[in-house]
Amino acid sequence: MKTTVTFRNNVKIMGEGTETLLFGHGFGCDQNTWRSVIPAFLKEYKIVVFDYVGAGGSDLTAYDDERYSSLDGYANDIIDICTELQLHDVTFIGHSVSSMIGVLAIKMEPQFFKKIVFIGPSPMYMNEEGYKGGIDAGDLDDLLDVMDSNYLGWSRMVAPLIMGNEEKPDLAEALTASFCATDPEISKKFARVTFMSDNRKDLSSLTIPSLTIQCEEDFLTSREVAEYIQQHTANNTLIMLETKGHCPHLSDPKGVVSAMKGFI
Amino acid sequence: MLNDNLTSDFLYDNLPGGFISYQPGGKILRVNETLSKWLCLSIEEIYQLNFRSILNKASGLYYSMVTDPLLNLQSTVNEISLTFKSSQGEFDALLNAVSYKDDQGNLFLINATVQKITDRKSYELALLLEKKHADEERRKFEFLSNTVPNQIWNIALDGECIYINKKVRDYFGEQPMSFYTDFGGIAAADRERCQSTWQRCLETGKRFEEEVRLIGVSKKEEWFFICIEPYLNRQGYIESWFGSGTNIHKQKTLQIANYSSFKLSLSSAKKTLDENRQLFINMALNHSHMVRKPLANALGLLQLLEDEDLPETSKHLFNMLQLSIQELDEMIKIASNPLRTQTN
Repeated sequence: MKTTVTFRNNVKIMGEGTETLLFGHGFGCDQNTWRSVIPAFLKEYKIVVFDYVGAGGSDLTAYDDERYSSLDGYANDIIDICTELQLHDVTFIGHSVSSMIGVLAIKMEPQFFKKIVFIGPSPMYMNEEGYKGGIDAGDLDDLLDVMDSNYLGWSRMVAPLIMGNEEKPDLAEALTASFCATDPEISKKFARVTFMSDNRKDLSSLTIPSLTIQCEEDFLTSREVAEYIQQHTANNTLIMLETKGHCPHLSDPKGVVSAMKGFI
Repeated sequence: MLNDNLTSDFLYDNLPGGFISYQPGGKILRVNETLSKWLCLSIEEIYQLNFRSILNKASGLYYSMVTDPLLNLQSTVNEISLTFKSSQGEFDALLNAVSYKDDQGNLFLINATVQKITDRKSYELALLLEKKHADEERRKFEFLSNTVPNQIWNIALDGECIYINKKVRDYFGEQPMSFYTDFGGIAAADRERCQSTWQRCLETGKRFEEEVRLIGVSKKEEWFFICIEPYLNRQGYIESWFGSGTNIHKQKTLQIANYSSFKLSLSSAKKTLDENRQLFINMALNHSHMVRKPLANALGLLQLLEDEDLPETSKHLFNMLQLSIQELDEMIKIASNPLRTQTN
């Protein structure tokens, strides 16, 4: 029987192990973003994937403007999942904004967590004097305009996929169907919350071991940001991947798996 | 027949659309002259750039966060609206891209077409502004509807709920939409009446007005004044229905209490009147006997006087006295008659 949080966050559990790896997707994606790395851990770990409320196959009616007006609301999604599934000694793997959502969840309820992996993380995306996050306030407004422009494109791309594609009947492709199937209005709100967040001070609260996986060329974050995290977080290890882009778990899954296995 | 100059390279370079091929990391492998002209850069200069770097910042972010992951998971993306940078400013374009994977499933190539849409973009921007304006108006409406103390909702023509304000959600808690369309929140005693009235309103387009009892999360019945008005569009047709629910529980319970009190007062007054009437009857019966006795005496005396030889002057007075006593006798008979009916 589906329980509330499992249904709300479209939680999926797989794998043969007992130790839990909990994967949190980044902005603009959903749990299907992990499909290239998950197979490498199925034999030894219990894998838990989910969609934040508003993304993928989550219950869109559960979206609450107030709750999700800050990253704390998303961190509470993680806590809710850990509580409902009675998880412990969790290694949380967060892509992009999920990295800091994971930090906030650990700050709220540290007893659930053992380790955390950041993939392409940033404690603050906005530029500030003495800190180069990567984007300016104007860039965020422009990004929201681009998202608006692609509203119809989003519907056209996603709707037929959601309805099913006869040429791609297998499960893996069906999973793709919901990828990025985030409601555009919620997506814009998530973008604003993501890019306006500042979690630099939260880094010092993290005491459990953490690993940062960063690509050499990432349009959204950078080596500098990854080094900033390392300097301000206890027990943080930084691994730079030669691959380019913001989603190494998609473009270089082997590199990500190798880095993760060395850490967890 | 094709001219010898019309080589495939010539055709590729001069097609009325931009073509570009690049690696997943963004390294540009080939670009046609059309796109090169739009970017105001030579083809050699473009080869030195990363695909993301020919996009403006916002489009680069969007490409990295949305389009790039999509191309990793599916083979095509269509009509992505992006803004490209050129040395003479920026231009808007639609990107269609196809991704290719090797035998191991690794993405190695992306082929894309770029279609300039500067003019169409102006129109699209105007539409976007209108959409933003409409969104803002909607936000204002929602803010207002959440501020007022009433429950507010909007229903489609087929009865489906389009919108409910926070007051409705607070009152009924999280409920599926069918809860509202099936009149689930209305007390059983009022439900049938409401459904019947509502059906009539849907058929006639007339306003719905009812005082009903609602049952919310508190599980207590409360009186509400429900008013649902048809919303007519510019063509004069009903587009949807706007409803409001005003809590009138205090007034209604007071009204009901007052009515009960009034009814009680009336009963009490009637009882007093009945008691008084009975008292009057008893008194009248008692007093009629007391009155009849001297009257009977007077009538007897009149009878005796009638037999006397009275002087002519007294006869006139006797007649007047007889008439008065007969009138008095008649009056007492009339007065005592209904009393007899009552006592019987």
